[in-house]
Amino acid sequence: MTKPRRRRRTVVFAVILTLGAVAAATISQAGLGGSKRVQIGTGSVAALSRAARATDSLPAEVLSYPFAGHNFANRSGIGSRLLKTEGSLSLYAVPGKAGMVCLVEVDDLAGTSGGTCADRSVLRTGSIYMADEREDGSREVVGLVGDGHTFAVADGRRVPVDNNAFVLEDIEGDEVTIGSPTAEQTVDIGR
Amino acid sequence: MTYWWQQNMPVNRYGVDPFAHNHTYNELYFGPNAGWKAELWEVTPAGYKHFVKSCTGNCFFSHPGYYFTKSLCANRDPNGSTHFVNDCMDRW
Repeated sequence: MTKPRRRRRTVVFAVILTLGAVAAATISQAGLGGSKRVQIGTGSVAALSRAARATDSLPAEVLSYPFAGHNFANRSGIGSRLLKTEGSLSLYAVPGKAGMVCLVEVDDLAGTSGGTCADRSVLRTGSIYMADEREDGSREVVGLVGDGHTFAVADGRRVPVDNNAFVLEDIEGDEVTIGSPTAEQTVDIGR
Repeated sequence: MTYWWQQNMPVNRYGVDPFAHNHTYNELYFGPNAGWKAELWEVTPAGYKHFVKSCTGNCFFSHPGYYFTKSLCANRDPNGSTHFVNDCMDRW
């Protein structure tokens, strides 16, 4: 009588363990967005919360593009923040529609501008970036990262994250690594 | 004037505006829940690529109209999931 009971208990225990493991895996996958990618932070962008300054306004030309109407939370770019300037390049963060957040780059010298908007959840496991391929095949990569990220590195070049943004120039290769003091993420910028 | 020229483009296909112009603006729009890799670029009739821009989600690139080019756009999602590029647009 004792042995079958023990066996039954063992089987029940094994079933509970298995169910527990399956439940934990399911919850973990749901929380991670179905991937095993490393997460840093919550996807929040502190730069968007700071007090506004006169220099935060986007150029009128950028606001005139259809992109602004399609993506920005407000057509006139209300809430935009200047993240970083480097030479003639200026980077802005802009609140987007339906939970998106946008990165806009303006190069006064080159007469170019670009922008990209993605769901804020992208910032938990990576970066909202733009990579510009130069005539010599190298790339300039600009990126928006969530709070907690402190550096970006690619092709042996390491740059600090400043106001949730980074700029990497003359990059060859298809990966950028971004990270905090305790964790790293890999962003695939290849085609 | 901005022209739409491609819609409902499947994953890992690229779309092209076959009419060459001195383009000044290109845009790719997935939709409001964007987050996939995308690419915009231009090619001259002789096959030279210019203004190659890859990005995350919806994106645009504007530039001086230096080159007489065709415009292209692509969904570069490496996972092969099913989602569409809703619009590709250009301006010259």
